[in-house]
Amino acid sequence: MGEWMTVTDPDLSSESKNICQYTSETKMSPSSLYSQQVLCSSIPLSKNVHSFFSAFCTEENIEQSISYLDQELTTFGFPSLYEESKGKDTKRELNIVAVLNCMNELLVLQRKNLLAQENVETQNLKLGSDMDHLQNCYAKLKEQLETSRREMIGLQERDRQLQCKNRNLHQLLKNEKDEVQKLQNIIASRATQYNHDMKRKEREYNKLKERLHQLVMNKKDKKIAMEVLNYVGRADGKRGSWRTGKTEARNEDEMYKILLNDYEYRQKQILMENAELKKVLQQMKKEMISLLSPQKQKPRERADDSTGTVISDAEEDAGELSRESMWDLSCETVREQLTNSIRKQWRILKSHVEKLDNQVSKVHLEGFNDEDVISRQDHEQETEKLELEIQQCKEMIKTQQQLLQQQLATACDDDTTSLLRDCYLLEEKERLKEEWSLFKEQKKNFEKERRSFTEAAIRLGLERKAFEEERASWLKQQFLNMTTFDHQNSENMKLFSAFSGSSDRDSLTVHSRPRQKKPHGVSNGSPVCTSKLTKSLPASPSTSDFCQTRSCASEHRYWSVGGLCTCLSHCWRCAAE
Amino acid sequence: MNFSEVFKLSSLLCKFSPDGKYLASCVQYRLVIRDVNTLQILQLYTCLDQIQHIEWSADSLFILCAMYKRGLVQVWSLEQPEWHCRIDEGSAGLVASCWSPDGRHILNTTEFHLRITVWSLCTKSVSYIKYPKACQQGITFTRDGRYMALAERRDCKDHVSVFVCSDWQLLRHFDTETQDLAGIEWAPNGCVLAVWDTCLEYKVLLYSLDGRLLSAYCAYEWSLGVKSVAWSPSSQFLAVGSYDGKVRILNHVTWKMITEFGHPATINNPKIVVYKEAEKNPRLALGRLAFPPPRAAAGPASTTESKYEIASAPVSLQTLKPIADRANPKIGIGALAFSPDNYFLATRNDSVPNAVWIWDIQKLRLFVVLEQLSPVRFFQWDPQQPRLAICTGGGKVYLWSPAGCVSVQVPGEGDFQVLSLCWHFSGDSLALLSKDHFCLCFLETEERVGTAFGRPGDHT
Repeated sequence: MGEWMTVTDPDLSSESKNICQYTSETKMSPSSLYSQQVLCSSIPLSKNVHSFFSAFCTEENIEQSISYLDQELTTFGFPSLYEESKGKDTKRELNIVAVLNCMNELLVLQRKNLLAQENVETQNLKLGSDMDHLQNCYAKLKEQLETSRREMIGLQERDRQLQCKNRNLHQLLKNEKDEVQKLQNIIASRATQYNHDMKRKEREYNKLKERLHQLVMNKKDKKIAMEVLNYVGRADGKRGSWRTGKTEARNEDEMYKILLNDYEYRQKQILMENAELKKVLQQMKKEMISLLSPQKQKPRERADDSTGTVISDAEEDAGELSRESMWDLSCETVREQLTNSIRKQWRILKSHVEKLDNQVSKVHLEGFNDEDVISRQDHEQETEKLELEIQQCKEMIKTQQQLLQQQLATACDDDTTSLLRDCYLLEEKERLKEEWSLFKEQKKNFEKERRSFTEAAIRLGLERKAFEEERASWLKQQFLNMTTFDHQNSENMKLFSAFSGSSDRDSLTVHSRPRQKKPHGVSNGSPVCTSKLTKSLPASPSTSDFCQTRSCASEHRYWSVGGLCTCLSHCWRCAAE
Repeated sequence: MNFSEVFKLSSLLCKFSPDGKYLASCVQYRLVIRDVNTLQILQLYTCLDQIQHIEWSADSLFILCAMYKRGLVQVWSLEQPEWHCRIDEGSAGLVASCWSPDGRHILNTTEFHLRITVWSLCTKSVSYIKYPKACQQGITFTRDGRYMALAERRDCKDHVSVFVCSDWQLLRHFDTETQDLAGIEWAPNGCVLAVWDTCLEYKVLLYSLDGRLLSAYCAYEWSLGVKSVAWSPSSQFLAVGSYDGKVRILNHVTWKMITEFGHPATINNPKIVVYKEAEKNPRLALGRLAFPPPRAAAGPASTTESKYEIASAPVSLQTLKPIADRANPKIGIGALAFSPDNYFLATRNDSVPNAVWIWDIQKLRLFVVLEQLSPVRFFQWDPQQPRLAICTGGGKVYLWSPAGCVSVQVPGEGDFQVLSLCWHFSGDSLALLSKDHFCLCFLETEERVGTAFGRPGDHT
């Protein structure tokens, strides 16, 4: 590329120079020519001295150079520099237009080339930098690859080592297991051998003992003797009896008697325990029935409930209860009946308690919703606050009045002093007057406010009175309906839930508020009662402790009977409460 | 609490008579009978050799003194001091001697357990029982004295024979399914016999009086088994202490385990009261230094006073690391005893030698732990009330009751190391035995006990 540049450069410059010279020769004035020459000479001087001397075109070879150029240009596809000759013999003329066109075209080409060159150069640079970057990246990645490869190798090595270790450990474990097995076998064999030896030794020992016995006893050892001063009587005072078959039989009899007594004693104890437990169960059942029967009327409304079927059972049981003598009759039937009925009752109680629990939780939820309504207390507080404000305002007004009056009085009385001060008090006086008027206006406003407040208070009082009346009437109604208390309560409950269930509270809630409030707060109606019941139920050791005590009792009869009974009855009382 | 003066004693032989009137003690070859109340010597008998064992007859009329080395038993009568009886076992030798419950027969076990000779004091008759087994507890009488069970070994098999004590007639004879029977014990009601196997195997068998196997119980296998067994006085429970440091309570209805009492070395439950014996600071000692310094220098540990402190919730008890390669390792429940009212069970775990565990049987849980400064040697319940006396071989006796516990220094010059103790059946007095002395400790009567035991006062 550099070469190419060096080749074209002198060409171009020489050409332009030639043209320049040529034009100056042909067309321009001497002065301009001179200047041109200076210009021309100055350029080659500065640029290329050598072009002057060995230039492409000199005065002598204009023709040749032109023809050469023409040839060159035509080979490059430019139009001929010569005019179109009419005849062959005529000398061809230089076509200046064509020359200029060619020159222009060459220049354009040159510019284009330069531009292209520039572009190419920048692109080259860009590509070079890209290349560098990529090379960098490549190097980096290579490095990374290297490191990861190394890492991998390390990990593989470790893995291998671990596997090796694992294998070793496995081997060890196996060895140990084998060892254990071996030792166990050894132990077993030793044990058998030991037992065998022991037996052998014992036999030998027994033999020896036998021998010794014979030796010792057969010797008629004089020493083996008892010296007693005189024989003493038996502890029971009786004489010893002869051993006969009779005594043997008697002994047997006695033994069996003792055993029998023991069994009888135990049976009696168990019977007592059973009786106690039965009693407790019976009592429990009775109380359960009595507790559950009033609530039976309620589920009757909801006929779909399964409890409806139980009512008849309960009545049956109640009828059964009257025949208490039946308890002492056949054991199994009674036991079955008792357990069945207790189980049934228990189920009812459980479902009932669960229901109550649900209700209580519902009531709680509703209670939270109810907070949107402004309570009476809040109302009262608000009015109190307002009244207090009124009081404060009044007081302020009063003090302001007093102050103003004082000031005025002093201003009027002391004329002499006022005269003395007139020079500077006059202005102040006017200001005060202005303020006075302002105050008066304020006072008027305050009075207006006061009036409105008092009106509001009166209105509140009226409202309260109405409220009180309503309450009284409600209480009366409540009192009158006391006989059908449960029923009413359940209705109240339903009403209550229905109301609090509705999302929008407008005039309806305002009216119903006092009525809703009171069953909640004043009467110990169903919601409170149920909550109490459910609270006491889980707290009392009802189910779990009952089971525990029972299981304990079965193992642990000695003291448990009384305790269990009391415990059960206690549980029961708790539940009943 | 009052203490009597100190009397001489040898081989820890000191016993109250069953009727509670007399106290027998031995000094070398002399047997001394004292009145319990006055402590005056009533009788003094001289035996032929050093006495190794004494036993009162059940009616408190006779007392036997055994001299095993000479194969001799001498019997003395309290009513007739001139009456005497001498039983010589001759070359057969003697290893054990005991009264039959009627107090008219003496059972002597000859050397090598060749036989048991039953000597009668009423008649000239002598009976022999062959093949008694040499074991921990081979003879047991029912509480009413009617029957005797005897462990036997014949043809390499364990057997139990039940005798009627009145005429020594064999009532029942049956073999037990034990490898090597270690002990037998009648239930207090006399209807059930507990039989346990050697420590190599955990096995407890329960037989009815008529020889039927009622139940067999095995808690685990392949480990050291039963170490101690105790019936509750009501015959309702059988407590079995084993080498795994647990007590298992069996019930008398199903003969199955009701509960298991572990003896952990740390007590985390704050409900359990842990009484820790602590030495009192001997500050006062400086103030009153006796001029001729007493012999206290010999044993300062035994003369410093101590008291009980209530340790707060997580208490770790001192444990002993058992020596694995020796026989009879110090692990497992070595001692257990029910209180006479069945309410409490006292146990000692041999690997925690300083502690006594007291369990509430009514609630089947741990109630109190006492941790002493030195290993507990012996403990015994008051026969009348839930009150436990403990001795540790030091100069103090310790008493526990549900109201609290006290540590009492035994007065007297020198150190009186209480190695053993025994209660008078009324529970009013307690004999404290040391190596060569004994003294009586009189406990306050009811109204004063309250103040004496009122110390921690957080328990009733």
